[in-house]
Amino acid sequence: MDFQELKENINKELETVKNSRQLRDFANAYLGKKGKIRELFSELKDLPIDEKKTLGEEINNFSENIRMQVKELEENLKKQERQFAENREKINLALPGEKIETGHIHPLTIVRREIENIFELMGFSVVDGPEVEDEWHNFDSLNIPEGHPARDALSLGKTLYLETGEVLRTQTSSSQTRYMKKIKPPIRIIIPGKVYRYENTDASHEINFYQIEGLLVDKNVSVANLKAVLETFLKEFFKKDVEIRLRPSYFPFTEPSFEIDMSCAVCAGKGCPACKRGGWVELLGAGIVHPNVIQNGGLDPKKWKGFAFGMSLDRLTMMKYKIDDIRWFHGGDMKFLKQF
Amino acid sequence: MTVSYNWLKTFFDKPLPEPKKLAHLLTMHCFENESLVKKGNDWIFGIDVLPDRAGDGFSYTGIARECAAVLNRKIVLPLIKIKEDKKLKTASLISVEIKNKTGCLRYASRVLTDVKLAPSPKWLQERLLASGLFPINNVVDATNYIMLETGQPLHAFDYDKIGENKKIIVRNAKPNEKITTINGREYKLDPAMLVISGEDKALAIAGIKGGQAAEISGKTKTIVLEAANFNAKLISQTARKLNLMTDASARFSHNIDPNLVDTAINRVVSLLQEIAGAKAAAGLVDIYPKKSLPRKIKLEIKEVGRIIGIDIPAGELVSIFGRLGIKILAKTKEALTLQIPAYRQDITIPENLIEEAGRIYGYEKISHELPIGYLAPVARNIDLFWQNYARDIFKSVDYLETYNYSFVSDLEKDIFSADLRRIENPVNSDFKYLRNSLLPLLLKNLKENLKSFKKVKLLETGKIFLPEKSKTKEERSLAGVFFDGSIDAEQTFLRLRGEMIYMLEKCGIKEFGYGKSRGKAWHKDNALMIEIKNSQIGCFGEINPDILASLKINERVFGFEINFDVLQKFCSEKEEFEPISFHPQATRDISGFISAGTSVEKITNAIKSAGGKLVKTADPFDVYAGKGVPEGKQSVSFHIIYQSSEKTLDGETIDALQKKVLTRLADEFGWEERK
Repeated sequence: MDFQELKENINKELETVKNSRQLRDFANAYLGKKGKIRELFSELKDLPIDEKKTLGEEINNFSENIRMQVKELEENLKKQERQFAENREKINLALPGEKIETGHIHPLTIVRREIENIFELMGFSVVDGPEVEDEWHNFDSLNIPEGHPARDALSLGKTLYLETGEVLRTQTSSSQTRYMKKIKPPIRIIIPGKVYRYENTDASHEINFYQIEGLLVDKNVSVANLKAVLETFLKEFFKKDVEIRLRPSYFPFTEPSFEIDMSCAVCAGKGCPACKRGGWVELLGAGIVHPNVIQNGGLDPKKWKGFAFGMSLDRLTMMKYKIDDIRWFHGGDMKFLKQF
Repeated sequence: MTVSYNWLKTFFDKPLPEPKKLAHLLTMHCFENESLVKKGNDWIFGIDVLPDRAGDGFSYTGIARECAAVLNRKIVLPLIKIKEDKKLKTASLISVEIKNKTGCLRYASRVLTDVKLAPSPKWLQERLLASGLFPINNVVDATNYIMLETGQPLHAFDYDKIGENKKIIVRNAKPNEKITTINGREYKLDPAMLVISGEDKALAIAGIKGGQAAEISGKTKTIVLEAANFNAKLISQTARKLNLMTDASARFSHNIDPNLVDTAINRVVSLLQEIAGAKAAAGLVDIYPKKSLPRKIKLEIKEVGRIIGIDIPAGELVSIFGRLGIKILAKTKEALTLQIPAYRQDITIPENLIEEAGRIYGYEKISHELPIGYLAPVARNIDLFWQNYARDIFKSVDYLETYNYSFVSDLEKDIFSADLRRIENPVNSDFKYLRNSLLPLLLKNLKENLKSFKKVKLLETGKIFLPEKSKTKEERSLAGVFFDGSIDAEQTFLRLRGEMIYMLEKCGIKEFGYGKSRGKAWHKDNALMIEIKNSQIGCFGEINPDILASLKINERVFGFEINFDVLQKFCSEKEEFEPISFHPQATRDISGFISAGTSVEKITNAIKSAGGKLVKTADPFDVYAGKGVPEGKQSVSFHIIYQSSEKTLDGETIDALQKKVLTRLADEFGWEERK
């Protein structure tokens, strides 16, 4: 082919190149090892030496020129194409995120696990007891025999009976003597579980709620130990430096008995609506296990002493999440359950 | 107990601490003070007397004694000044007989003549009002006043109305005996109850409330005063049965010192002579068969320190007991022998004394001392572990854990035709039976939530209760309900089935099968029973449409209920890493006909067992019945992936394996290969 003609063709064709693929085809057709320009060189070999030299030089220059143009075009096309891709891949950052639906664990389970973990770290094993009890375990074993003033208050006023004469446990303490018989002392256990009360329900009363009973039986057990264990627990649970105080109280199954108050976690004891301005929040009942209970557990009360405490899981959960009504726990409302 | 600060002050010759300070001291050492309100120039305390102290603490004297012990003061008791009319003998005016001596421990009586019934003086009215009682007339007010002062309930009868022979009898009520009390209400009594009676007619329900028959009225001139002591349990049970709680029954329901009777009756006579100008007949008619004596208790001093956790010095102990009115009979280095005053009926064992010592000394002085113990890991509770594990598994497949009451009503009992354990005294009809399944209340939850949600997945785990002759068996159950709004019920079922398999595999259970579902809860066709080694674990599938209709749920709902106690026996934590092979995989697809209804999972298991370790996976990808499939058959296709962990499998080996698999399928399921 004539060089001039080729030159014109090449220039014309270069103008029609619109994308990288066309450019690659173009480059292969003209600039490659088997390209048209190379072919021109093979035609040169028959020409006289002078002509060969000038024309050769001309073709070389032209070839170099085209190569430059291709390179420049290549970069421009790439830029254009990247721009195009970027536009096409652009994400609308104004759109809202997708709503993620997952399962949820009930707040009573969450808090119960937390409490169990803390006590396990302090060497307390977690055990469970029956919810359907006999009268002996629910009352007599806890030093509430027939004729005791507390027996009627509890058995006639607060207890649910089954048609068989069995009772639904009114407190997890009913399992205390079972474990005294089962485990060789020293005993360090907590007994979390569902308890039942004959109760008209309101924001703070339920017929079903959960208690966590603690029991430690050893040769030397004192109020000082009880104080230390409960304060350590509360500090861990509330993740705050709380203080506790012991007040005299009465439970048939402990002697001495205490009501345990905690310095208000909201106001640090200064007084606020959460603690009714008193600076203290009533939290749990506790005491040194009554010798009759130790005896009922088959142990010698002269040798073995113990402390016990009982707290409401529902109440601790309500405090933790600032839940205002205990009835949410058994309401089955997904609007509630999805929050935890 | 409602306590007036001004009245309380009269028990002391020196000023008491400020009301706020006193309230705090009482809370920390004695009884919780629940409220403190200023009323005129007085302060009113709301003191929560502890139940075991109701016998002595429900009185000004009792509260004053507590203040005295805490403040280390002496109390001044009001004086008793009686002018008796020597010509008039009480014993000739009245006689008393106690028929039930276990019910009535003491009965004392006095007669006052020339009583001028009138309103009480202002100071007395004010004290009653401050203590929460309304003044009525001087006679009634005086008995109430002395009850508040001493803790001993008292009663006054009109002498002219107690009957001709002037005899008071303490007896059990007759069957169906009726009495109209002074507030005009009629009560039907039973023979377990005790009455104060004239010759034939009941004059009062003993220890609880007086009757109209001998009520004080404007015409009353002569009165009979009663101070008695009754069996605490009898009074508490009667008050409960009649639902009649009074100031008297609240006190008598706990043990009151019987020795208080004469002090109290003499105090009221003394007061009535002062405010109603009455004349007192001479002497006391007092039936007191068995005198209550002060208790003696020996206390080992080191036990106090052992239990409280700090050593209270012996001198301090002696001082504390002295302040509490406890007499030291003997004292050695090791022990104290103590005499307990009769009004402290609650102190019976050394531990009671340790509590007394501790609370007066001050619990705030006890240090914190963590118990010393063995460094051994705690025993793991395997039941709790698996139950928690199951909760987390279902959480990961989008279930919301919920808690329900353990009770169901007649509605659920009827709908599920359940054999349930009945509650003898249900709080209301919703809580009449113990649940024997978690499903009824979960379905109720689902129904409520459908009002606000398009998709409901709820999970519960807890105890269910099964009647067994005279006992009630507890079992742990795990159940869920599932509604996803999908129109393709089969898709929902397959999702649920997948969840069941996921749960079983997570629990380390590899081998399980299916049987026919059992129980009214399930759809007659669309539900299955999970079986592990001949044990029935529980059912899953579509809920019985009849049940849903009865519950007014207009959707197709799915669910499951697992007997967790049985499931847990098969659970295992043993999990091992399976080495990943780098040798190439060979995929073969098979398609064939088998009887309709043959479980696809069974075929999968058969392929795996025929091919052994070299079958990596066998996944069904098409299950089909209809056009081109013979009647009573279904077409099933599987991808089978063969792979060895040791070498590259050659074509010959794979063909041989494939043949083995197909032969097995043909033998076991009548598999016909589809061309």
